[in-house]
Amino acid sequence: MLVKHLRKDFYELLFGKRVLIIANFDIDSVCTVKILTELLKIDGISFSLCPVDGITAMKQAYSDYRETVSVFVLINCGIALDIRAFFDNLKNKLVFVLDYHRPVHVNNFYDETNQIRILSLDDNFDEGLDSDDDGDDDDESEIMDMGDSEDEDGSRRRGRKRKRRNEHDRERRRAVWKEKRNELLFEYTQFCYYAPPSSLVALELSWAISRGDIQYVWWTTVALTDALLLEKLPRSEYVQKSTELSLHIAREASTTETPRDCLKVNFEKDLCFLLYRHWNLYDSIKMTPHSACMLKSWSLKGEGRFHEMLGELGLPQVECHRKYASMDVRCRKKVERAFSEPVLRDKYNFNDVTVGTFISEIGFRPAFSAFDSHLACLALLENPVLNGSGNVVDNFLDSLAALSKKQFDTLDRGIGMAKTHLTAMYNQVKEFLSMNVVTPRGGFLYVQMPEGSPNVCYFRNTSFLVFLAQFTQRAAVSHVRNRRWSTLPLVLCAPHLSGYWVIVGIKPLSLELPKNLFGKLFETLAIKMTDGAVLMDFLDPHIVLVHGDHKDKFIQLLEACMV
Amino acid sequence: MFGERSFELVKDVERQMTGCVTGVPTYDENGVRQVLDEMQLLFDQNQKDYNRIGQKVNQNDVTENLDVTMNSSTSTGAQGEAAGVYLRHTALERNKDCLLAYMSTRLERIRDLRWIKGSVLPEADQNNMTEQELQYFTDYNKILANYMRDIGVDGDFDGLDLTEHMEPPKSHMVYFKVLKEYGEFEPEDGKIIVLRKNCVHHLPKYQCETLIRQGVIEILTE
Repeated sequence: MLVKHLRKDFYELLFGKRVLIIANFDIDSVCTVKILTELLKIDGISFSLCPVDGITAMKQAYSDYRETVSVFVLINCGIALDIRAFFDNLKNKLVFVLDYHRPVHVNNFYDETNQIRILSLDDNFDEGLDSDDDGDDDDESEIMDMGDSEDEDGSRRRGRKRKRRNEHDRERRRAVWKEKRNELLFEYTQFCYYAPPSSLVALELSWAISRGDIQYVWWTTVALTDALLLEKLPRSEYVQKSTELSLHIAREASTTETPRDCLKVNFEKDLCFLLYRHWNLYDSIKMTPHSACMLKSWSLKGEGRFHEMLGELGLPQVECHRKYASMDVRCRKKVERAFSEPVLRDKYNFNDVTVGTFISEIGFRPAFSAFDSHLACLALLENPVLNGSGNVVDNFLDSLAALSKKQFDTLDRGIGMAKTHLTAMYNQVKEFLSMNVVTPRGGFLYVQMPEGSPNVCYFRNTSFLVFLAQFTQRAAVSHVRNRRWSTLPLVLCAPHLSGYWVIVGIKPLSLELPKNLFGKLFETLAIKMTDGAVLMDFLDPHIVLVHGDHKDKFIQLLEACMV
Repeated sequence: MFGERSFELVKDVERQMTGCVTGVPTYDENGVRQVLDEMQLLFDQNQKDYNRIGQKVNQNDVTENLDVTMNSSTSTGAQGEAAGVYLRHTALERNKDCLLAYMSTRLERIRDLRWIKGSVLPEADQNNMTEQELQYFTDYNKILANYMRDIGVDGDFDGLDLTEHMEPPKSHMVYFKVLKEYGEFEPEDGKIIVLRKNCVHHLPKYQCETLIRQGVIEILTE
């Protein structure tokens, strides 16, 4: 069931209950949890929070708290699973699902007992899903009606005869209906994609209960940035949603006073180089996927061109290597204008370097763009130091803390780690390209990270892994200059813990809409493999774990499928 | 002089209150009785004078038309008496104020003791109180208990011990992380919580101090 009224049908039901929040491990769910928990804290509603990094952990969390908790809120997990079947014994429980993964499992949407409720802002919520099941419901009831009316009238013999014919007819129609249903369902579930971030729903909720705050808007912008950076939403939708958010900002800013240490958020055009405010310009341009691919900064020639370009823009090397904050003021002031000069586009094919983003300022501290905050939180969330020990919750809490406006040191630590992550990612892509390991296999590009690579630890979690895959794909396409490559999806394979390899598939570069067919594909392949060879534990279906012994077979099967 | 004893009483109680911060001073039964006696005396005197003035005025009414000069001479006598009545009346009022101040200061202290020493007072304090004061204490106790029980009834927890905190807490909930596997924890209200390692909870402040001391949980600061 889709929740229609966020306050009446969701928030007010939480009062006096103990709520369990099960949250996935991504930035959107960090932001959503942050908003939601702030609201619950204000209202004194007790809750428990369980961050989970996979389907097994999710089930474990449910069974741990099943006895003592009656309301469950799933954030960015579970919508693709048949929740009623997955969580056994749902008696007297309420499950709210706030998940941006799509497709939605049909049984969750049409849950008869209304115990599973989906929170979403989409007006045209899954048209495919809606229309197909409405249709089949009608058909079914029609069939039933006919049967009933036939039973009632006419003499018994004629009735029996008719009944037989009718039954036959009914069976035939049911078969047709079933076929149609399966077809529609297949069409609907064929691709996995993402809806707008869940934080938008949480923000809407905060507004619906009159608790709007500029901080909540800021957290939502961080989540929206995640969707842009990891290509979860098409760019047009990003622009649309950010316009909506700037309306929220305008509203909140007018109602709040402006003392010196309050949070100010502005929507501005900004350079798209990652972390450049807290790094130096040189490294930032070199390692940002977008600019790196335009300059091909990994090759010797590309680096030469890069230096040449900086010279032409009048930015001295010394200044570019300096920390951005301590750059010569005259030089810093001209940076933004320099990058909009037409010579860049004509001579270096270097364009589109500005992006509309949100900038936050608190008092006299240096400004943070939504990209900076996002990467800092992501680096804290996927901190490789703690990952090995399995203590994922601390990472989640660190990431939550980095969002709050008082804990600057955590945020600064996150920025530092984000730089390490980006450097590792850049080095890895450079290594891929220099070793020529990106190869076309059948219908896709295949790349495998060597087992002993020092960078492996940075890419055990999903977000940076996907980021790496996207960077590799972009870089490979621009490196090879083979037109066909941009129409191919990419499959990346990286070593994971305890003998398993993590395999991620991403959409072709030329495809505008972020629709991914690997989710369904991996699922069908997993059935063909032996038990335990493939673990579909990640909540994103296009990422799977495959045991080292079966990896090659899996790739071969994939190749056979894709041809 | 009128009112001296009562003033003494007030001064005494103030001295005692500053001298002993956590306790009820002895009830000065003797002093109070002396003041009351004085008041009774003043009242009787006033009553007498008042009656006399009343009689005189009545006589005046009758003889008013007969002799004007005589009238004036008697009225001065009545005026003198009226001033006496007025003086005594003021003294009476003052004694009353002082007695009330004495009582209310003591009651205030008794009310404070409920918050400091809890619902049962020590023997020493009880001996220093009068029968009525003890009754007051029991009534106050009852009202406070009822009020505390009513707080948050429609919420997650039933009642709140207001006397628990020296300063009003920012929130009646606590936000903490579990550091060790603990298993089931049963707080006062009987709603069991499972404390599993690495989970974060936001729950009413039960007896979490014990858990903190045992190193099971850690409070998360904002």
